[in-house]
Amino acid sequence: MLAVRSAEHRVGQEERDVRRRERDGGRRHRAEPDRAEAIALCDRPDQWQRKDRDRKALGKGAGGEDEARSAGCAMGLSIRRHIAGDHLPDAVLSLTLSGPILKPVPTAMAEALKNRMPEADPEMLPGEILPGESLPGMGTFAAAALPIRPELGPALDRGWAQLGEPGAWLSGAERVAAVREARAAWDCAVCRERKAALSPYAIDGPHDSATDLPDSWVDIVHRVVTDPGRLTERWCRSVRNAGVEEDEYVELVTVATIATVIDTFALAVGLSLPDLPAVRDGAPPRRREPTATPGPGWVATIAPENAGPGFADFYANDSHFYIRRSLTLLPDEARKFWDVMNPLYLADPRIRELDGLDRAIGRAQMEFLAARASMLLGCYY
Amino acid sequence: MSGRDTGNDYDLAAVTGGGDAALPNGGILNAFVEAVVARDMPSVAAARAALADAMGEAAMVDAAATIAAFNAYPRAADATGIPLEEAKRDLTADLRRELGLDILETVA
Repeated sequence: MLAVRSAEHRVGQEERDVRRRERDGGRRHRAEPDRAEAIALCDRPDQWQRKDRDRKALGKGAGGEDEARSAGCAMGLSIRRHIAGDHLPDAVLSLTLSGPILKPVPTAMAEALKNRMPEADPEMLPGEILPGESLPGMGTFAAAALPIRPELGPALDRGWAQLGEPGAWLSGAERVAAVREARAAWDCAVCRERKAALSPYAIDGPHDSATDLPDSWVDIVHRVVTDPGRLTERWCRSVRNAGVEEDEYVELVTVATIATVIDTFALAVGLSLPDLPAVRDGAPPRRREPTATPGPGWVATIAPENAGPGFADFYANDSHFYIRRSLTLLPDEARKFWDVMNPLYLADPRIRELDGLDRAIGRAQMEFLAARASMLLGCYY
Repeated sequence: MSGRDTGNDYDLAAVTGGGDAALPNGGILNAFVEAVVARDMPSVAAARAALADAMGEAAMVDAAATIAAFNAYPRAADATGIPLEEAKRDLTADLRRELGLDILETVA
């Protein structure tokens, strides 16, 4: 939803522009060069595409659209240095090219700009905060009026959207249903009763399901979401014996976990939970991974020494920890999982406190939060 | 690792019992993680505001990101039953005993 400040604001913009020009003594406003650069870039999309190719050649990641969008939400004016017309939704483009901001913008964006442009005339930036707002065409997190790191917002949006795409063994519709179940689990009476019980396996009864997924699937999702610390190998075996394929089990765990993680981030920072991902058509390949072998836990995984050329990079940087390996029965799903987790935490946990962290909290503070969250979830690993 | 690098001492008992862990703003961080994991929305809002006030909005976001990530690793680990690596088990034996963490291995 675009929140628009009162029409008087726009009507009065010209007057404020005149006042500003008078105050500046006729000097050109500082945004003007950037605006000119942006317009030039938009007129020459080939320039941006070339820059994009250069970035990729240097191994600097996707660049392009994600970078532009992130820059747009995080830096306001810096977007002018990063755009090409076809990379951005109209609303952002309007904002970008407007110089002194003449057009209505989402109020959350306006607030972000206020925070990051202390040199700007506050009267240029309209709006009042509406938590959870985002720009049309942009994801919840990339457009949020919060200082979310540029690599993190798009990763969360991408991870969320992928939950609606066909997976390795589940269809897009089944995956979105699993997301719905992950949310419904928090209000499930049986889950609450189990959580309070000395043993969750002493409580029987159907879950408060939000979908028509098989009961065994619902049970997997609800337990993983609400009481992961008390899952047992015996229960896992019983699920398999009830007819759930090992691969389906791993995908349900992956989907439920990613959904829970992204929802957790949203509620923690005060954003509205994202709408359910759009379901994408297509059949999952349902192909058993030939390089997977049993262990080290209850499900098969791809051991580093068995990883083929298409997957060996997954274990780069000595990332051989079992947690990295845990979901690799479905290699593509494992990659999606880590594509979300790495920017949330650290791509390389070996980094030391004094090596320099691109974080606003210290490594010791991160590790305390990590350990405390794991403890509260009853995780031994 | 962090304390060894910086020469700081931390109170690791706060991992199990709560508290400030002798960290800067540790109490505020602890209140935030406890509220988020419990999904206690009024407490989350209060802790979020306190954290942003004390450390800034970017720190609040990065704290939330870490907490979110560690809502994933435990679920992935516990649902797939992966064990602690042998090397890690040996390295952390004393610490796990001191903090009473070994009970988590058998609680289910």
